[in-house]
Amino acid sequence: MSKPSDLVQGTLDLLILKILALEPLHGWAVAQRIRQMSGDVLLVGQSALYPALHKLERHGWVKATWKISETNRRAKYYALTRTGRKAVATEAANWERLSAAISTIVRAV
Amino acid sequence: MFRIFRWRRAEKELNDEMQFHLDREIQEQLKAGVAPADARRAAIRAMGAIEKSKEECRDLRPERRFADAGQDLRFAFRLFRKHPGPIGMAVAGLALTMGVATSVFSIANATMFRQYGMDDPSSVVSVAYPREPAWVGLAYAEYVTIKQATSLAAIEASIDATVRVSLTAESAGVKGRPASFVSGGYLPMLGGRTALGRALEPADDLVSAAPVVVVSHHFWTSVLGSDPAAIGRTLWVNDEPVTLVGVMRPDFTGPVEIPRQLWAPMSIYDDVRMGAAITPTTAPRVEVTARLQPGATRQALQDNLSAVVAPFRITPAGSSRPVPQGVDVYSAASPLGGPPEPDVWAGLAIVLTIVGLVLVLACANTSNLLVASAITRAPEIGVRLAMGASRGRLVAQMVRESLLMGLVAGGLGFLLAFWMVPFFGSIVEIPAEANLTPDWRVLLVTAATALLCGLAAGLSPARFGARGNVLAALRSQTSARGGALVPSRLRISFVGFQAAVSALLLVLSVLLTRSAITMTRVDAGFDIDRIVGVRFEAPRKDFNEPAYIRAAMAAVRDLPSVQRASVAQYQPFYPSTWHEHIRANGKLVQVSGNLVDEHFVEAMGLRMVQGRAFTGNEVSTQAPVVVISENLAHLFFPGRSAIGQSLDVIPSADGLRQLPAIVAGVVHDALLGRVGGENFGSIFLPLAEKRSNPPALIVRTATPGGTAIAIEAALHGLDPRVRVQTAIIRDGLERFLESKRRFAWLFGPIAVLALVLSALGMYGVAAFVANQRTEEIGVRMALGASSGDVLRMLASDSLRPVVIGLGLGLGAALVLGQLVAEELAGISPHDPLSIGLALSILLASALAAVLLPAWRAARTDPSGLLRQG
Repeated sequence: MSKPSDLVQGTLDLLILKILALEPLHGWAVAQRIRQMSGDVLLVGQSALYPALHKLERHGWVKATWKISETNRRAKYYALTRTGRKAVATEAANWERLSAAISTIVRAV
Repeated sequence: MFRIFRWRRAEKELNDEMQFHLDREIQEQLKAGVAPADARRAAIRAMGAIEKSKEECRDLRPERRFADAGQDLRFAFRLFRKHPGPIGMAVAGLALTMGVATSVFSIANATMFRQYGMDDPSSVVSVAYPREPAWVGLAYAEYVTIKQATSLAAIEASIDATVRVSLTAESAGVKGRPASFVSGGYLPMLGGRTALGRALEPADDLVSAAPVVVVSHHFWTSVLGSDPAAIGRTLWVNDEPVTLVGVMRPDFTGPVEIPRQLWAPMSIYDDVRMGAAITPTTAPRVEVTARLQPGATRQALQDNLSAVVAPFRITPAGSSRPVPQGVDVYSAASPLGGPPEPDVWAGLAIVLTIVGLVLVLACANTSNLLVASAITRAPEIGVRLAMGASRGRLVAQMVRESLLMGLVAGGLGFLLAFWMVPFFGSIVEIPAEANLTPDWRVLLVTAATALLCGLAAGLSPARFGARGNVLAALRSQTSARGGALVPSRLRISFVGFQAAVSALLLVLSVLLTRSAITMTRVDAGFDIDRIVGVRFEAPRKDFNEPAYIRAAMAAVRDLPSVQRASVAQYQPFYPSTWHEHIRANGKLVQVSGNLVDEHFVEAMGLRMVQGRAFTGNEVSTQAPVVVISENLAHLFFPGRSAIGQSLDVIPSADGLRQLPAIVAGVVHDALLGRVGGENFGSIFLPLAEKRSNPPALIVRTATPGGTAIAIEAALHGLDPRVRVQTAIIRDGLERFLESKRRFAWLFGPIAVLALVLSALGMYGVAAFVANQRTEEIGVRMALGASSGDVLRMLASDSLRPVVIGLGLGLGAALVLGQLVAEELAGISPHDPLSIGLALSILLASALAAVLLPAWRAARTDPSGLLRQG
């Protein structure tokens, strides 16, 4: 689990933003969702997750509120802000461009 | 307050969030069928380093920086409470040094960078002929000409003089008050404004005007008792009544080295000074000060005025030396902008170098202490790294600690400077008017120095400390001590550097001290205890000075206790001695000169080596003959008799003329003017009948005290208007020596400070090395090494950099010794005894510093040492 070294630097932010675009979630759920959606390929540990979430919050892309969770406990839920939504679009476009470029090279060689 | 609250809330939320995550993780484990007892442990393992990610989250908060700083500060104070000794010593050393540095800068600030209380000082300039070979002002007629000839600047003139001022007609008053006789527009041009009354105006400078004077604020407070009704009262300046019309503001001193106490119009110069009135032809030379018009440059004014004065600058026929063409125009606002004064620069360079070196020494010392403490703190650093602190955070902590030390030391130093400045000021003879109180500029420099010192002292240990290996540090104390944390080269270069700097300072200081001691028993070459000098201050009007002097000589000769009496223009060692240049055989040297009558050599007890003294006829006819001292004879006429040889005398008061003369006699070397530096020798010329100041009587007697009183009594009967002052020559010499001793006084404490600092540094490093090698020592002793062997090993290791440093410092001292050569009397800057003494002191203190910890280590019980390891 630990550090997702196979995750390209900066893509964790995009993954989190993408997940949160669907619905507000707490940290643990974000990690679970990434794991499920990637078919157990991407495992994000808390050591990378929470600093990333806090950084996005500091950026103003996500906003945190305390709500009651599915297990009836108080949990910190993260939701996208208006600027966060714009960021998802640009970050996704960046990623598309980057991954396309990498794939081109990988296939060519 | 709000911040703390916000921080606490953020902390709670972070904990809750992490706890929630952990709980969900445990639930997952339970769901996967893990036994409840193991679920928690498995969850924690799965999550990884929680504290580290918490710390990373905290780092994202903006309050973090303040919180860290606060934490570090508290931690630093706790550290200080735990180890007050070494830290206190480092701070005290740094504070003392900062105090010295601040004082020196205060003095430089007050003397070098002062603005003189003028308006727009940058446009005020001085005009003078180039100083070759001696400084020459402009003649009054030249001043009048350039004033009218240029439109680039407003030009005014002044004559500096010292006057005697009394508050009543009867009292003698106080002599030697610096005054300026100024042209009418001088004060308005500078922008000198008054606190009371009015400044001098052009109308005051008319011959028909009533005599008036303005005084400095300092004079008003110290002499007139801040009397608000002082305006309009009468002061007696050299016995002439003048009306006080104004008191200048406190900051106005005039653009001169020595702050003026009085300003009087030039029109009364001849009234209060003995001498002729100023006319275009009989002029004394004047100082010319100008204010550039907006847009005019110094260079433009210099070109303009040089063209104007060119007709005046005609080299006299028969002169071998061309007269310098043109004038120099330089900034009058500060001595730094003025003409290059080698003395001032050399002195400043020496002092700044020394202060800088001591500062560096103190910094190195602090740095050394911090490196050592970083090493002993390796376990603490290891714990912090393990707890998730980033390396940047640790470096920041160490730099903050040393910055704090620097600032505390700087603050203490600034406070110390308030006591130290008057002390240093009295040593370098700062005029009382100079404002020495440290101002914002000084505070700024001190703060900058403190920060710089703090940073410099903290960076290397911080870099080194944060490089430490976490595991090694955590594993055990010993491995941290013996491990990769030893910055041996760094530490050794510190020690070498400290030794070098203290060697340099100590050698210079011993040289100066020895020179001061030498001077207490300086041999003048004649019997200074049995010669009385008599000086006169004569009334200006209705007074025949030559006749009076003749009568005074007769009266003095009649006294039974007087053995010999003579007349000389200058009394030896009296402040206003006279320096001449003389030239012969292509050599030009400065010598101390005097104008004397035919009895002088005998009265002084000087021994003729060759030739003869003046004859009465030579003196009365002003024959072109001179008597020179033996060293001059050797310098100019080596290997042959000087008698009958010719040389040129170039009076310093007038750089243009030169008087050819024939050597009539040679006297043995005697110290008659300059003390210290190189004594080039003395020259005597026949006393002139026509002279601007009354000469002095030189009287030889077996009973100087009684004779002095008898002379004063006898001369008072002759003409009660003349003020007579007698002094034994020894007193004048002592006054001269005093100013030389001050330099040693200034140097001594700084050198001692440097020595203590570097001894502390050496001790610290030696103790540290001994401590580091505890294990090794234990093993060696267990294997049979005697404590003597251990002692020798430790001492030789620690002493090597010290010896190298001493060598380097000695080399530097030999080079820099030339700079203080001028201040040394009677000993060479390479005096082997002084250098040997300085080196022994250094070696002794280095040995003590190094051997003490080594001895302590060697004395301990080997089994105890090993068990400890």
